[in-house]
Amino acid sequence: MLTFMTAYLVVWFAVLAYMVRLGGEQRRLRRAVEALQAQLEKQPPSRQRAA
Amino acid sequence: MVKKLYWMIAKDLLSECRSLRVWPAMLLLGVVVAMMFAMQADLPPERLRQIVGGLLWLTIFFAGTLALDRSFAAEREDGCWKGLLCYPISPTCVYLAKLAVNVVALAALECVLIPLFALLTDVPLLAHPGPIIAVAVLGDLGLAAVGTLLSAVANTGRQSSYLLPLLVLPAVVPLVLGAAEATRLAVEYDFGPAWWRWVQLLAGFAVVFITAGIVLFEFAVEE
Amino acid sequence: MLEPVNRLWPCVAAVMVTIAIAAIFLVAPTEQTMGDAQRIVYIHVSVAWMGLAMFVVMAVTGGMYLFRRDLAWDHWSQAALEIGWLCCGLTLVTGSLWAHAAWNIWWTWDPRLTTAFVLWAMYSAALVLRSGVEDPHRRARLGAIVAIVGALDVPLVIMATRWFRGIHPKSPHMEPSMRVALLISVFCFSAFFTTLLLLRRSQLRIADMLEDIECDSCSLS
Repeated sequence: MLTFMTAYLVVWFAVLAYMVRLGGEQRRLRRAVEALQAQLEKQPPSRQRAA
Repeated sequence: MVKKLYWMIAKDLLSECRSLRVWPAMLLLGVVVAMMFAMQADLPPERLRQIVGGLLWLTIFFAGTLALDRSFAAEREDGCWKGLLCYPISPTCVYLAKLAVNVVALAALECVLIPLFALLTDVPLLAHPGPIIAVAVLGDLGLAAVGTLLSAVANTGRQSSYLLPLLVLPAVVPLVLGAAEATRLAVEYDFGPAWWRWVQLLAGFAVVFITAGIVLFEFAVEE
Repeated sequence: MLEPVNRLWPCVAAVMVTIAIAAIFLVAPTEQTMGDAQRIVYIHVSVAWMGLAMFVVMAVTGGMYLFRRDLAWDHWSQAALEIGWLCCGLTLVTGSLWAHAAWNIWWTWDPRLTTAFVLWAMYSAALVLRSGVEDPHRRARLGAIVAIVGALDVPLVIMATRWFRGIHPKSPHMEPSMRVALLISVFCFSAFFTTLLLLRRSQLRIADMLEDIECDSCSLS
């Protein structure tokens, strides 16, 4: 039972750690996209049309 | 192409003979590692016969990696790499030339290590030199094929000094296994189907990775 | 702008994992000799298969990058590298625990475990290589070469380790319900890791696009 619990704990811990890393990257990308959108909205209309 | 190949091989060999940048260190490292292995492997003769192949090929690998790592170092350090790529010589020619030079380096290493291991472990490695030489040549071709290609890959990033062994060692697991087993069977005078199977594996490994090197090398050296 | 996979992946992942765990605990019976420790095999086989599959994906997409020179292929390659490294590492750990439960030894040079170790070492080397190269195209090119070399090597590793250790132990006989649980587990974990692969690839693609936009805006200003 102990071996089996250890195996499952290790697997889930590793997978969770990777998912936390992915989640952190997701948040960073979301912030970058929002910053870009805010920057685009601030630009004067002529520059926006050119873009 | 043969003329250019000959020129490149001669250039590298002459350069190494004049400067002695790599080979002395490689030979010294090989001797030191061999001595350390022999020191630790204080076993009865019948057990030593079983493991001497593995110890020999691991020593060849660790010392030979030094030569493989420095395959392109001379050109890169002296700023001649771009010049070599501009020269009308195909990347295939450069790869085959470097491969040949590395095979010569590994052969030189084995000329020292095989008698040394025979001396230190009292295992009759030189009793039947033919099969041992055949295994050594095929092993050198395979190791040099993988090592030359991965040396070109490793010597582009920041961590070139420690990256090559990390890249090469997993890739040469079948080669080291095959060479060690073929050497063990040769020492035990067993040249049956098992020995031929290992020799075929070594030959197959060399063919596959020389072909891969010829195809992939130009991608490795693109600027 | 963020792709649908980024919104759906937590739900898909949770559902798949729940089904797999249910199959392992409710469908599969308790094995006679090893007891509950035998249930490690359901997850061990799943991650082992994914480790090998990701290597194939990495090599194929790496080859496609060398052919097409489109960084989109490298995003797949890098995502497969990360997931494959994780799965191979888990294969080694669960394999070691299984070996201890079954044969009271922590490691065996079984051909499959040896292949898993070699794969993991190659994945690790590729990760270290990629971390040291800044230019994305150079990183993609070198990563592709290492992936192709590894892919050519794996069949040779399998052959060599099988000959070295003789015929590897035959898989033990499995009850039909165990086979069903194994198939469900492999399918669900494959789907779970594939979802992670799609998510990671999408993140790499977006990060690449953002970098391009930042470069363009720097050059414009």
